[in-house]
Amino acid sequence: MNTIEVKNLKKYFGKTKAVDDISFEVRRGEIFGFLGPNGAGKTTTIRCLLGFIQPTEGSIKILDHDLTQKNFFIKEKVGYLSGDVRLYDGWTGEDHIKFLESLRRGQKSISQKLVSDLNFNPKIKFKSLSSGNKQKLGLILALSFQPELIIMDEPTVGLDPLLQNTIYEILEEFKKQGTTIFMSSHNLAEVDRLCNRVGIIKDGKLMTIEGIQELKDKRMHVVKVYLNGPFNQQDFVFDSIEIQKELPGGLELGVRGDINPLIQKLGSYNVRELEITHASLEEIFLEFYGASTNYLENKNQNKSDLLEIPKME
Amino acid sequence: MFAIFSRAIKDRRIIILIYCLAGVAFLWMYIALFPAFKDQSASMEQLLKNYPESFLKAFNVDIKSFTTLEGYLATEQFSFMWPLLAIFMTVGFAAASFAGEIESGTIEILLAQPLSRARLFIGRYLAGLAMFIVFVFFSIFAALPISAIYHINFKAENFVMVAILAFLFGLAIYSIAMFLSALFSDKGKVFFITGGLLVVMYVLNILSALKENLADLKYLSFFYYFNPNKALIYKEIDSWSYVVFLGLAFIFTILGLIIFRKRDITT
Repeated sequence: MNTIEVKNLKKYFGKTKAVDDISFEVRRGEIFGFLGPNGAGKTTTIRCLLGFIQPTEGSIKILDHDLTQKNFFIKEKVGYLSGDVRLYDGWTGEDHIKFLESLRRGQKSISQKLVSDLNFNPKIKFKSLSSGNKQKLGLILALSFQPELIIMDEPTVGLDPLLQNTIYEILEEFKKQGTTIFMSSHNLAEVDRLCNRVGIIKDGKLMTIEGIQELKDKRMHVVKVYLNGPFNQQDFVFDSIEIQKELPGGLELGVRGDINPLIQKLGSYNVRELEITHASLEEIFLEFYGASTNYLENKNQNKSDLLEIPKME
Repeated sequence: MFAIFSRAIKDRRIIILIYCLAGVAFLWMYIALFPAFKDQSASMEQLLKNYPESFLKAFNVDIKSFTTLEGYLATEQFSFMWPLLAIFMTVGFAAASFAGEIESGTIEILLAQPLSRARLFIGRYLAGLAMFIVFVFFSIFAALPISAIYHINFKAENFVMVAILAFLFGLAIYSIAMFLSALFSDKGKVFFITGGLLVVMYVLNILSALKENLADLKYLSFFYYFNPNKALIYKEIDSWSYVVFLGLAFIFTILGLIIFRKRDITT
């Protein structure tokens, strides 16, 4: 069962192809991450899913109903959260909640529970809220009516880790109850923690759809290691490791996939300092898909070829 | 739709109050000054006779402008100050309704709800209209108790007539502004285009009165069809005023609705 079915979606703004013939499905009850660099077409796709903009071509089905035919029905079952929540400055959180309750008369609201879970003060005007509290209010409004589908556009961008974690816990709770979540994100850790599958979009084209484990296998780390005493550079040459830079008394290594072989190797040395950083998701995009053609073309290739880890430059 | 309507009214209740108070305050000021003008009416009439007729016509000055309360208010209040307040009020509300919401991004929360764009448009349209009716009522009919306070005679039915004309005038401007608000994503454009259009109309009306060969231009101006002198002094409204104001209000409301339903909204 699919919650979202997008077929041959195109959205052009004049000559600009914001979304260029993408098709994908989001299964019921899964968290689907929609990833891509800035300007890739993520937000345009989300706006098409919400009916804010009309597709140039293609069809969108949500909860088995055509979006253009059953917009009202679909919106009753969808919650939306933007990364940049913009609400009415002069209204309090309570005003916003009551207003949505009056628009969705007859739908059960769990806003009070969410207000309590998120420790949100609904008596403060929107313009006086911190960015984190604005996002909390956006989340409360999106989830209050227990939607069957939650659509989120970079929901935790700019939030502190504590609040991010609270949001993840709430979303995981909703997922357990069978809610489908479609979210765009730049945050690899977020995607890693929450998503079952991801779709990667670039220049308006869908490059690939993968399970999160497959994406994880393509993970890159940058490791800076400083060693006490002499070392042999050749010890650090593995299939998935590349020496990027020589450092005074150490090396900077690019590691693709499992980092454990490197850690084991380092165990035989006296390590003075070790720094491991994740490559950003965007770096992975650039690395894996920079020169690639689109997913539809790749689909005809051998699956193992598609998932094969290319050599680092 | 009622939620949209009632919330719009609630959000703008202070603004409605300010406009109504401003309308009543101007009315009070002019009515309070009327006895002094009336005392000077003979010399004012003499003075007016020295002006060319076209000039008086261009600026809505009638020979009864200083002898009757109705003529005086038609010239002083309803030819300039009242239309200005009505224009600011209707265009301000219309611009904020859609273009302003798109500009600020607040439209997203509305579009994400189970509410059709048609209902959103109609709810907002009716809210603005209701507020304008309240403004028309207070800013015109307040003249009756205020005149009574100053023991000035008035013809109540003439005020009903000018209220109808004023409503039609505001309705047409409001509908055009709502159409522009549905079309654009920037409320500045709504102000600029509506304001520009009205200034051009005002100038056309004056030019048409001053220059005989430009006389036909008056048909392009709302200020020709909005003739408070005729309504308030003679209790008359041209049938073309009904046709033009109601016709344009209908056309631009429908166009606004169609465009708002179909357009892409990106914040």
